[in-house]
Amino acid sequence: MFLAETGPTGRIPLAIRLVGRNGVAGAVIVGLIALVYLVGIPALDAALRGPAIDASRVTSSSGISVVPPEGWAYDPDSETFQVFTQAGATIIVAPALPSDGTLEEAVAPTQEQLASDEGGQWVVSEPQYFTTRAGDRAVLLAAQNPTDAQLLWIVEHEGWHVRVVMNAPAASLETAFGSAQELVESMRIQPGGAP
Amino acid sequence: MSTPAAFVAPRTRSAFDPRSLVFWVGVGLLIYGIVQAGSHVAISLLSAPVPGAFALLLWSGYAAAVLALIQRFAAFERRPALSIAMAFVWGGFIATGIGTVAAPAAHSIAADLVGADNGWATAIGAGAVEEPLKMLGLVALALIPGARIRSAADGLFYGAIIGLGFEVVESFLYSTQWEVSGTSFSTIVLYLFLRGFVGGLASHPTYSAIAGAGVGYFFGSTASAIKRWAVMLGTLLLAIVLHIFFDSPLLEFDNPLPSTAIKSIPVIILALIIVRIVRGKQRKALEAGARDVVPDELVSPADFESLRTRKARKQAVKAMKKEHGRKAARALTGVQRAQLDLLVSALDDGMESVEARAAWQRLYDAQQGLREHMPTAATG
Repeated sequence: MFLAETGPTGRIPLAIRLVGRNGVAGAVIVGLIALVYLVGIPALDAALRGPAIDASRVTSSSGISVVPPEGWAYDPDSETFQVFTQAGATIIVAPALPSDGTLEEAVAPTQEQLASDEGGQWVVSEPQYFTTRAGDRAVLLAAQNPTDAQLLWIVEHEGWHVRVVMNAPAASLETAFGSAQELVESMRIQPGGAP
Repeated sequence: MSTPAAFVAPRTRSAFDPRSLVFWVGVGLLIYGIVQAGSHVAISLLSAPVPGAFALLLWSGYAAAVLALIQRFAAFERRPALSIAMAFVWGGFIATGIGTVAAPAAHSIAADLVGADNGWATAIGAGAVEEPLKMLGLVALALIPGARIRSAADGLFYGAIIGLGFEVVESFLYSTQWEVSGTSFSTIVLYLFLRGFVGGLASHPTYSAIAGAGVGYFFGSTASAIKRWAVMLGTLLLAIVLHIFFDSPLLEFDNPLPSTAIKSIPVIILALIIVRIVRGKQRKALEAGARDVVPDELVSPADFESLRTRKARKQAVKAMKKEHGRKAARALTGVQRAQLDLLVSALDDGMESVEARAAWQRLYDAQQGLREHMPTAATG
């Protein structure tokens, strides 16, 4: 419904000028703006990123090797930590640490810490257990809040635990999770290479 | 009051206009949105049917409740269900679908600027992408004349609907990422509490309503082009800033409730100011319609006094119930509704339009009904 104006201006509202038209100009404007978001912003992001890693397997000095996720950038500067980034999500593979405890015991402190972090508004899921392709037992703990997600994997191999952490905006979790899970499942831990 | 130079009726009565190219661009983007966001919805439902259906039920109920609340705020006008559905679908699938590609990229760019661990990166990435995408839906609707987005009030309404669609589908997807969160019913309920209620009024529908008011003004006002552009871009900027502020790490306490409550205050105050301005203008327009456009025997200026506010309408119905009983009160509600419809139609399309004549007929029928229940009283 048209609303009251302060006085007659002699102009006709755009809503009336559009009546009877086929909307060619409007369609072009809407289409172009949509393309800016669909293509332009991702292209700008890709241009700002380093080149995606092109390697079938990356091995750290601590003896952990993973298959890097397709399209993710790799930070080669760190020799002990493996860092992968894409679309605001970061995956960090930490060096292996010796551990006598079980996966259940290893994941419990993080689960409790996230659950008690009231300021973070985390919704913490129950730990989910699975086996990597190399046959190692692993656990996934996920926490989400309205804007962000934090995921922790711990892979167990012959008395060693390897932690993988992913931080991602909630909006990209859907796509980033698959890559991160693939990375963890591809993990091979060489006891000799571990510190 | 300035009214349109000529009453020109759009070729459709809703935004569903297959002769408009904007409509087909929207269809194309919807197909993309369904592939992007809709496929995730389908996967969530197929991979875990029971919790998926539970989440769908909860979020559908939430959508219905908020929709009813938005409709209640827009009591002066009844908009076509098809246009409302199209607005909801834009927010739910098109804006969400494009957002799944653009928001992470924008987050990544923002992270370059402020640092990956900085909470502002998420806030900037979401606000700078989601608000314009939702507003684009309103612009698309407004470019289809049948949608009748002709004022800040229309923009406010449809903006809120687009925001609601976005919030519901996005929240459904977040709460049903089974691989990540597990198929836990408590997670689903927690998510509804967190995104649906803790965020409260300071959420997607509010931001989009603010930006929408500017779009509605742009399309319906006869002010200068500079002023219309300034208002539209200004409200978009305001929506983006409010969204970023609400998602930002500012004012974070150990307990999220006071933090959320404090952050909600400026968002709600600004939204209420805009709603108040828009409703004041709506009242002024309807008052002028009752005085100058619609014959007094149908809606007189005195009649409009009892239609002016929800409170006035309720009081009139209450008085009718006390004097003539429940059926007469119900009939008066029908008369009030028909009078408002007639005022809106007459202002939009003229008294000779099909819409105004249909409203006129409904008013006549409603008045007849009222007379049956209060035979001794005059019904205007």
